[in-house]
Amino acid sequence: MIRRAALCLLLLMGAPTAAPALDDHLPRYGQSTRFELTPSDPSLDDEVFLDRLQVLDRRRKMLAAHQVLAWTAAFTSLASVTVGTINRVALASPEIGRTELAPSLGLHRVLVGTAYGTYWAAFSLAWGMPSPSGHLVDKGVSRSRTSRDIHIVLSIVHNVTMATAFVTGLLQANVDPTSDPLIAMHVASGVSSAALILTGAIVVARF
Amino acid sequence: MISQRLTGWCVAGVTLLLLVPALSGGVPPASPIADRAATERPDAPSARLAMAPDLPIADLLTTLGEPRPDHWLPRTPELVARGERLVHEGVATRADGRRGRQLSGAFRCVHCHNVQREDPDLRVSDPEARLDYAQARDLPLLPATTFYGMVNRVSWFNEDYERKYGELVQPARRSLRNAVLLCASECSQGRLVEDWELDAILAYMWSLELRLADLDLSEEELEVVGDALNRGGDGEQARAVLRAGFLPASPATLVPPPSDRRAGRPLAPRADKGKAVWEASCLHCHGPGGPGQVRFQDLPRARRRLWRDRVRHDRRSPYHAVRYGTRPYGVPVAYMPFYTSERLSEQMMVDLLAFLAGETP
Repeated sequence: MIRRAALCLLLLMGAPTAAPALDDHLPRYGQSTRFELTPSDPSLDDEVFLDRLQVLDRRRKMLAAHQVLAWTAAFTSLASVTVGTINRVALASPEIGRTELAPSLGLHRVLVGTAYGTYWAAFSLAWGMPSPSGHLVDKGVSRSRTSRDIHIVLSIVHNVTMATAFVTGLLQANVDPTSDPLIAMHVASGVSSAALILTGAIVVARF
Repeated sequence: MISQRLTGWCVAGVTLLLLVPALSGGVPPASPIADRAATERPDAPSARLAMAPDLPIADLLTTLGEPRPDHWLPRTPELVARGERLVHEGVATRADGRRGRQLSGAFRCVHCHNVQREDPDLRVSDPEARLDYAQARDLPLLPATTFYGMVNRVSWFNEDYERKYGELVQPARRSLRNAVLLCASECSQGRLVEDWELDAILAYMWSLELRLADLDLSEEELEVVGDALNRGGDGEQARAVLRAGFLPASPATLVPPPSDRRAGRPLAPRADKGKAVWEASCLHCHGPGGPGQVRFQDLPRARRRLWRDRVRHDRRSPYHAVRYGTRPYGVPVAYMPFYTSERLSEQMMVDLLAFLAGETP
């Protein structure tokens, strides 16, 4: 697991890999063996077969829900960054205080709350999702291991930046609204959080 | 003289009495095969074929002593019609009148399977002959086997499909019911098929079963079958003759793209055949109304881009997409299934590339 995470980080940094990542999931044609046309081989019981199909069906439904939730989280993250930036620019003006900007600050909080909520729901679904069988991953039916692992690493980093943005946001609102280091950290972690969740979606969807 | 006339009238009357109900359909025959066989002259095999070209092969095999396959089921026209809708439209009305749910958000069966005969010779799987046959009949050339005669086979998801779907193909290989379940669920990225839907799809498949006229049997082979049917001849031999008339399963061999994608395979290209593949196969999914995610709106541009991307080692390369297929990029989204060498030969791939190259200045 640690080795895989390290590999993913190396990949993220653009380190060269031994083999083309996109071919990882492809069948190994060099080991080709022919299979009998007649159904004489021992095989799964019908009951086990149906169970497997049901598990894969459940996985597909959970995956669909995960995708909807994750995209919602990504877009609300982006929206909250946009609203937060507008608020920051407005607060820089001497005529506007936090009281005047209350509705917009409220919208920022609602967007952030939605982003957090949908992200955690998506995360929980991914955590509880049944795994596809090794064959389905290796033979290209499911995602390649590499892009899935990068997706997981991005998700973990997103968690850290999201938590940082949350804490710095709370501190900024309740302790010191004018602290420049707090504002800088909040902005950086918020923007990174939105960027990471979008990158995670793109990585798993496109590669 | 009078007694002779009376006898003649009596014979004519009795004959008429026997014939009228039979001609009007009043007396149903015990078995269509037995009925037809009884009317045949034992020395006229060609007449036999002419009289019964639509005899279902499965019925013939059963009459000759073969047990009915597990996927056999009694069917009604309503059930067949529901199956036809499921196969063509992906959704059908239940027996109680309520509308069913869509089988798959990405595919319908006919996106990958024909429902007509697609091979000139049912004893071989020759993709090039299939292309010519399909072209002459305006049929698409699809990655999966036709539903026509599907119920007559004894194995499904054969050979290299195991490398794609793992142990899930084992139960599907020995049972058409399981094969339909696997195909609807995994290949089509759909949901689990309900029992009534499975019955309806199978009923529709039975309406597409092979018939005697589909098999290119010689006079001698017909004689063997006729002997077994009419005169208690060797049933086993007759079954073997019928079974040899068509492939018991569709072979499936995965082929890797050439290692040097720029050079391709050392085969003589035929751009005209490539054009046929492009039209019958590529445009079926990537043309207007097709299920493909990638649409070839601007055909010359699409051809140029495919030719340029042939050297890539990802899904944008036509080599890669055809031989490996692609993965679904979301749920439910259509992906591209792979073509085995029995569905698209290496020669046809070279032809297709030659056609794509034709657009390049």
